[in-house]
Amino acid sequence: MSSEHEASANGPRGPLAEDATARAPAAAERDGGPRPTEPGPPDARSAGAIDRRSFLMTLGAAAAAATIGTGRAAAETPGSEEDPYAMLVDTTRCVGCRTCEASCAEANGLPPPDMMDDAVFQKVRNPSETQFTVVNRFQTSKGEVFVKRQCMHCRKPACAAACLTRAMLKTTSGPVVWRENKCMGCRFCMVSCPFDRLAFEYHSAVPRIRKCTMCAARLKDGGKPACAENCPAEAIVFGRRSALLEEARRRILAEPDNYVHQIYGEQEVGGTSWLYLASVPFDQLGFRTDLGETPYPKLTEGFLYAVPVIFATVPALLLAINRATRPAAEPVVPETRHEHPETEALARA
Amino acid sequence: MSTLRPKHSPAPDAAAPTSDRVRHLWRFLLGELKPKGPLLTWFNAISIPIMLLGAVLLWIRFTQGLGAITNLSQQVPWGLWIGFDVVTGVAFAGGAYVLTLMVYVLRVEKFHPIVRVTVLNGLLAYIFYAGALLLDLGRPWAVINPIIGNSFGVSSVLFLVAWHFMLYMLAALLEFSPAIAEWLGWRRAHRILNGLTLGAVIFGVTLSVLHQSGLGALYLMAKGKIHPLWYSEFIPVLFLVSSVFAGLSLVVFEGAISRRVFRLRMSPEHHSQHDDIVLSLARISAGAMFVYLFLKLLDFVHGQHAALLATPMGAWYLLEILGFVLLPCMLFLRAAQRRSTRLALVASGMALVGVLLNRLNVTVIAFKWYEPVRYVPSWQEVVVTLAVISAEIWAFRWIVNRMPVVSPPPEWAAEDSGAAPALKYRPLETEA
Amino acid sequence: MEPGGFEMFPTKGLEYLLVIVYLGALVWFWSLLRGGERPEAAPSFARSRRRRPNRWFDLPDGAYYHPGHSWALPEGGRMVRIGVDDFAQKLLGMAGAVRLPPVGTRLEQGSPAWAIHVDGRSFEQLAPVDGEVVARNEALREDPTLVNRDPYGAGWLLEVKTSRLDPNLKTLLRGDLARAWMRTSEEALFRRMPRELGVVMQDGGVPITGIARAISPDEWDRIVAEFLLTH
Repeated sequence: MSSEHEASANGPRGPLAEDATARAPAAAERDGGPRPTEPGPPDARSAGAIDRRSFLMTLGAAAAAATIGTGRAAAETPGSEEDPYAMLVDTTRCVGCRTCEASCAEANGLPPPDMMDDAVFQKVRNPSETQFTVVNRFQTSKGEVFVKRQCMHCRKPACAAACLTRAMLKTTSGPVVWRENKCMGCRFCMVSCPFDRLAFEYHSAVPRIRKCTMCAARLKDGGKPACAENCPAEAIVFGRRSALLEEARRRILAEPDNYVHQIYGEQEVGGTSWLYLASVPFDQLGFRTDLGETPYPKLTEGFLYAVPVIFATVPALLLAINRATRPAAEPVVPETRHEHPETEALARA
Repeated sequence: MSTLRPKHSPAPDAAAPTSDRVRHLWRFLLGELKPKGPLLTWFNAISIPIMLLGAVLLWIRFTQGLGAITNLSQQVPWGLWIGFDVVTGVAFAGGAYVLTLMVYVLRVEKFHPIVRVTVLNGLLAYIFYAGALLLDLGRPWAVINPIIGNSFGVSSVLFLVAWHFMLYMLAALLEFSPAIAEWLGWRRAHRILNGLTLGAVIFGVTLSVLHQSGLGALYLMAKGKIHPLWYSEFIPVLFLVSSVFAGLSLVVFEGAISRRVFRLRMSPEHHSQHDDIVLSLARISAGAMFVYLFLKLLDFVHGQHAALLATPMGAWYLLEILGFVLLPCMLFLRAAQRRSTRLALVASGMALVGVLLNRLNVTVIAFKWYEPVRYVPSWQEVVVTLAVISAEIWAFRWIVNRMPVVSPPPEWAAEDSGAAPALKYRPLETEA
Repeated sequence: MEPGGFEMFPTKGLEYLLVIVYLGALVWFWSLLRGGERPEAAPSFARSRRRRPNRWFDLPDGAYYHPGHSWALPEGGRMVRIGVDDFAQKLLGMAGAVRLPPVGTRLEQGSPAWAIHVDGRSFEQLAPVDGEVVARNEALREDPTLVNRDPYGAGWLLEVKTSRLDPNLKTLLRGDLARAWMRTSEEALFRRMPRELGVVMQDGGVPITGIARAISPDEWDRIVAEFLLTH
């Protein structure tokens, strides 16, 4: 953590004019990752997405090579508990094309969203059992801002702590995954999730918990999450968390007037693997800003610690009380016990 | 009294061959299955349709998913079935651990006549209300996972609560088992089971302390979703303390009903002590409520939420605390001072409403209070809940009408337990 | 604390103050709770329970005595607690069981109200007041010898709501009158005693329980009934 602060403090202060193309490889280099030798060419799927919304191409093309490069570089060293895989969403770049929704649906075998229907923006949506990610539009002091929502993949996830079958699992590389064979469908994870990003299949006899998987399977194969790969605006960057935090700080430093000076997800609930940059305060973008920095599992720590203590003390205490309150002599059958000593005493008298 | 005892004893003769005894036991059990009372009663007329409808609804629920009959949503994943059946039901069952603690550990013999019926109530409440958890599970067949050990989610509060439910049911069953042995006429088993009572009670009390508070701890991670007037890091303690008077109030309330329904089964002693017991319970409840009120005040001060009192939720909070904790506390006190069991009954009813309000506030009403569309239970959820309650009452009635729960145990059993009150002491009118 | 200084736990001080207030309130509430409780021994009674060295039988002030050797202690309102006096318990000996009328029974002054079992025999005693039984001493179920060990305290028998408190009390004995009556009882008992036993007792030995049987192992139940006015 301190190294991150250091990095932000001593990070290169490039001129405002410097663009992301120049910066991103620098970040990767500092990160210790190998510098990509060539910009990664967009693959077929990503190209298709851009075709559908070709007007976005010009926007995205400039930054594309560099940021994808960052992701690649970071991905080559596997994520770890200290420095898991993460995603950075720069909402100043998001144009609301919802390509991420479409590519997410495709990658996860979900029903494809109706890409041409802009009516979806009329209300704020949450991920659902058929959509692991959704893009919302917010009217802010700086105009329209689009924000993608999905599971935040907390570093200390409440859902995983809540799960009594370990169906919800925080993988060491970063993604929080759900395992179908373990889950008993109690939905305690949903109650606990501070972001409400889990969905349950209420209309199935064999329901599942549905959520963004951070494309854990693709990560294992050395790929990266579908949304990051296909974002035409380069609003979503995949990489290791430390690298992305640096990248985010650098963007803020480069354009301090363009960003609020906060990376959402850096500290919230102990840190999340999804990080957000924005030009307006986050509460204008539907983010909860009242969650605090304590990891949610910490909230139950005191109770869970008390359990062995209670087991150690209460039974012993109760046994002691039971013993201590025992009558001096247990009354057996008063007639036989009392009558004789008493006549004997009389006789002695 | 003798007509109420089973007509044929379940244990024919210790010397009889085993096959004979098994056959006899079988015939006895078959005989006991027959209804013992009139079939056409108001309760039956209402509860049977509810249970049938509940069964149909559950069929729909298990074939088409929870969404088919509940109003649960992605925003509100736990509704009436958890908030009322489990969280409130278990609080109401708290009387069992409080009374067993007082009778078996602290030796308050005064409460002996009601301890068995209360334990039975607690046991059934756990079986039916905690069992209602299974109805709410999306994938109930996987409930075995945290039990058999292939996936121990030890960092989960729910893991703890689930295990404690199971273990507590076992402890309560042990506490109640002498009555079953008396019913079946198993003397040796009775002696052994009687000897296990103290251990079961101490184990049960420990488990109860943990899972009563654990039910509150379930909501610790719902921080930010529960209205700040109800969310507190002390929810576990508040739940534990309120379970004391919730349980005792239910004992008072249910006792008043039982006394009417099962009056013929009760021994005259039980009847005569009833008032005294009720007033003592009123006193203990008042004390527990006094402590609880102070804890609530501390929590309120600690949370620095004075400004929230002026909001509608604040008024609702005050209604819960002042109207349904402070007021019944005062009524309990008054009842004890005036020796009025009637007033104690009123107070217990209000205290039960207060605990119900509190549990529903934490779990449903103040949960996601900020959402524009609020969760309101569907009629199907309500019917299933009523069906669960009806089934519990049926089981309770079946057992009370057969086993020595409110009626005195057989003579041989009294010798075993050493208490033998009936031998030492009989009221005047039974002398003849 | 410096004015404007930073407080790590802003409400702690207030909470501690509240705890102090609470402890005070708890004492008050406790006294209220116990207010309705039947005292195990009536306080006015306990205070005057001095042992009189030259007396054979305890006779605390404050209570009203029935010639059948029971006591009645007004507890405020129309409530009266009743029990067996020291004379009766010593006369009878260790109680094997006490049969009490159930709650709700109407008692009539001078009619048999309860019975004490000693050694297989049952001895009835007369109710000192009129009224309805509102509570019975359930502790006697477990340990009937409380009647012997603490006849004016833990060995109380019944709590009665009287219908005619004042007229009832007027017919009972208290104070000097009660002491005079007890002396008469003592003398009557003394006259029945075999010589050797009587000497021992006159020497200042405090009689133990079961006097009646010590006097006459064969006819002791008749002696008891005589003193308890139930013959």
